[in-house]
Amino acid sequence: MTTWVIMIALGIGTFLIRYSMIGLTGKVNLPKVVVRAIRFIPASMLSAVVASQMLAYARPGSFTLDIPYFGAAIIAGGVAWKTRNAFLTVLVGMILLWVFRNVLGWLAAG
Amino acid sequence: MESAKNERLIILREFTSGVKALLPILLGVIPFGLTTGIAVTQTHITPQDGFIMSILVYSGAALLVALQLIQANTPVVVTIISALMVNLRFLMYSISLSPYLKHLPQRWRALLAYLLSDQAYAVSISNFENHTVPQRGHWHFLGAALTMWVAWQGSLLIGMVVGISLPKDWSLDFTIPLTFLALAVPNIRDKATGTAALSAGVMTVLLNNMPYKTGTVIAAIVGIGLGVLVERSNSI
Repeated sequence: MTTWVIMIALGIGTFLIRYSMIGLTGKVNLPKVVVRAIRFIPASMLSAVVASQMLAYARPGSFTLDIPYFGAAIIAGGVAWKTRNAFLTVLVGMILLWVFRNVLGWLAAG
Repeated sequence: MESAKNERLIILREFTSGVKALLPILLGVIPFGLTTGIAVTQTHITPQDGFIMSILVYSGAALLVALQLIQANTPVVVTIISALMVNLRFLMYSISLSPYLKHLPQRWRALLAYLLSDQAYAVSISNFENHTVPQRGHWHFLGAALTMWVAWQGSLLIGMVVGISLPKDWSLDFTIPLTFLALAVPNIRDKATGTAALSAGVMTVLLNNMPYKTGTVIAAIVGIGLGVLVERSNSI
């Protein structure tokens, strides 16, 4: 139930963000500092989200779990930087995760 | 009679050119929609619910952030604020598009606002800016935005249907941080945006113990502040 309350709020909130200046044309002018700050929202917020999600994969003391995830994420980040292709980033990240995990599995078994 | 027919032709031409402008982008959108759909199912959401949510919100990033925070029992207000922060970038597009849509009735503007996406904005803004037929650019935008909407919702749905049946030991939950990594990195364009991204990431780690996952939002605000400062010091 709470989930749907959140989703409806998100739906309305997201629509209002998109609609805001299109709907109010000419009636409101945002302060320069706000317009300037908006430019930094995607880089900041999305990076913060990535960092908080990656923390969930940091398990102190067990390197075999850490390295595949973080190694894959770092290289996938490089792919994102070079290609700017979202799908390729996810694909390379997942393949690397599987490869790293199997390699470490063999090393541990051997 | 003749002018009404001409009008319809102009509208049709605009709309079709909007559709055509967006088509090449779908090469990247559809696979990404599929993986995002898979990522959504990693938060234990059924494809039916996920599809309705996606139509409500029409933002994969906000949807994923919200679903993850709900799963972690984050308070409702923090969940909503965090997810909306991700979507504040649309304010940028809203400002940029407003002069080109101001002649339209509000229901038109509301429809186009709902359909506004990064991709539709990208292909339509140059059309608005260099337009030769005045006041018809919104048909081009509608064509592009509708094409994007259908492709996104369709590929997301297919991704979700496939996602629930994929084996658990593939660690597909990792597609979630990878999705956000793929969205975050292209926003780093210069020293200022780089500083914003790096400081927000570092601050998130430092603020990890803040209650109710509020650290992410605070870290993002610090990143935004530092980005503005770096930009200002560069321009002096």
